Amino acid sequence: MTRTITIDPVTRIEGHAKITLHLDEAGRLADARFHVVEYRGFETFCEGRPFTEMAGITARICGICPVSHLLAAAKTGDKLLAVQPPPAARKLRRMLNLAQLCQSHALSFFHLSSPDFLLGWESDPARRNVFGLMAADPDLARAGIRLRQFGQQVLELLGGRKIHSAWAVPGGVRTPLSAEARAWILERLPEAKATVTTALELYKKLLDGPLQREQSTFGDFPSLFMGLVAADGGWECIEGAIRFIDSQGRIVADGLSEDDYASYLGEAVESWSYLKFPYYKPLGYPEGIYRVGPLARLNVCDRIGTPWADAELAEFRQRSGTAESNGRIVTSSFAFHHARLVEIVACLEGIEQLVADDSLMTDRIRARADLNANEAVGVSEAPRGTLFHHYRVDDDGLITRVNLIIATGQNNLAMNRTVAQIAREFISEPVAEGAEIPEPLLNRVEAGIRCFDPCLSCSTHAAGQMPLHIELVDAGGRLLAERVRD
Amino acid sequence: MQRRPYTSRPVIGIGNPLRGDDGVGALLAEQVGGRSVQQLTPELAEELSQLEAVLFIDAWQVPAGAVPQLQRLSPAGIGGDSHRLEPAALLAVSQALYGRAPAAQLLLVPAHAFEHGTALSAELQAVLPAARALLQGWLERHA
Repeated sequence: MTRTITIDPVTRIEGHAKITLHLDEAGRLADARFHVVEYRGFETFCEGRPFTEMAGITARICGICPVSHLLAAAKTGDKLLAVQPPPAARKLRRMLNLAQLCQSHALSFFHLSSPDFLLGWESDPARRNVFGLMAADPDLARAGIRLRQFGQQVLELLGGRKIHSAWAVPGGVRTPLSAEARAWILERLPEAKATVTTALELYKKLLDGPLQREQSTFGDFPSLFMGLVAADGGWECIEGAIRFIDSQGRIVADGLSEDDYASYLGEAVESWSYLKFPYYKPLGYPEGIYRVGPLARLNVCDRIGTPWADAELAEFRQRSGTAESNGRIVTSSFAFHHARLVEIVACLEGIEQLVADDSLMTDRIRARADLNANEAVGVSEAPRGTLFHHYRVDDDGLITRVNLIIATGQNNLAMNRTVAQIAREFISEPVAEGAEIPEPLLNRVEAGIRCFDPCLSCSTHAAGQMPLHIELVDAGGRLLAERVRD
Repeated sequence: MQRRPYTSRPVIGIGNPLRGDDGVGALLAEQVGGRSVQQLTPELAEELSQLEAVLFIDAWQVPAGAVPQLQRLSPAGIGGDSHRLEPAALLAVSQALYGRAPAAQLLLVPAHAFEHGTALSAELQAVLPAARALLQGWLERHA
């Protein structure tokens, strides 16, 4: 008889989910599933709203990365107006996104993930969280909180609010950089840099020692990687074009426009999850598995373009790059953590460059026009990966159709494969009847998911049909009733 | 550590103003020049550590007929979810990371309806004067 081990709920992720490990008749792991069991349906209730409201509405999908939706919506709005935002507005949007990446990555690293590897996998689960970190290393915890606070404060200084700002609009942004904001950012940048320096030193020591097994078993497999790159192949977070690269470092597709996403991205649906399974269409499902987010952005780019970040990128590749790619590509999903720290460096250097630019204080920050198109696609790099907004509007500018392709969804196939790999590594097969699942395995499986820093609030907005599969099972495992809606 | 003056009244309303009675904390706090948050997070701890006293205001899901209450708070309950702290746990974070926590009280306002929208229920509106009186009294004691 096949058996199922359920881990429910998964903690320290944005949203709620459960994982099931499916054993075959011999007690060996047959399959692993990351179930997303919440549904919100944003795409449907945007219909009928003016496209100018989309930045404000979609930003409320999430309290963690509202800026990503704000920027994707504003960029989609630019295309509906058929305008190019003024140069200062484009730079200000970039600065906002850099601050967003910084605060979100700080939250992921310090609050959610670092307790696992700083306090130890075997430590008391009740204390293996940011509060345990506060007790064990208050200086690091305080610095991590202040690093996130730095990013949040930059968001507030630019957009007027820490979350759910409606500052970016179709055609540009509402306000320029103020002298007060510039002064505050310059004052706090050195402390933010010092914090990420400390975190990088600490993390590299752990990579050299106790984290080697995790680095090689947490989702280390070949796949494609997707992300935006600049015209010169440099790291990008808001402009540029889509690039796919494979695990050998070969560029599979380059210079792709977000407008054509439907030609290269497919979305499969499974009955056991509200989260769709995007894949690279030319390779089919599920062979077209690809990853997005910090690890993917570092893999697709040729360089970052700022000195400290480029040095960290070189070390990242030297430490973790695969032999098959001559050190060019990092395939371990555990390296998402290291990639976040490298990206924080890139963000701080990027903010430092932008804040010195006097042109950001100009009032020429918004292009105005009437509706000039009925369909558009916008893209931005969210902390968790590439985010697409696709709108159709009628001649009055009212939304008739929305499709949101969210970063967490694009990592769905990779998250499932990661869970299976971890379970095979840390579970003793065959699993005997009535065997206990040890806490270290439970935590590592959850930690495997946390590598991707999934945001389920964002990613469960399936348009149209929602697969729903409800089972009623008795204590002995017998299926009593079942209802399926396709 | 550089300290900066607290620029608004030391009153923090907790709740979502778009979910009916849940927004009562934000409403009352903003009316007296305080601030509102949808949830308490560790980033607030540093700010708290610079205060002598703080009043939290939150919606209180209780049966009909309950009246607003002021409760004294002590740092406690550290642990759990870093996205959503209880007031006592936030005080504990302030104590743990910054060496001190302010004297704190929690104004609980009976709340009954949490549907989408900004309207407050009739039951809550009936006890608003009592809640405002407790808030005013606290402000006078901590002026």
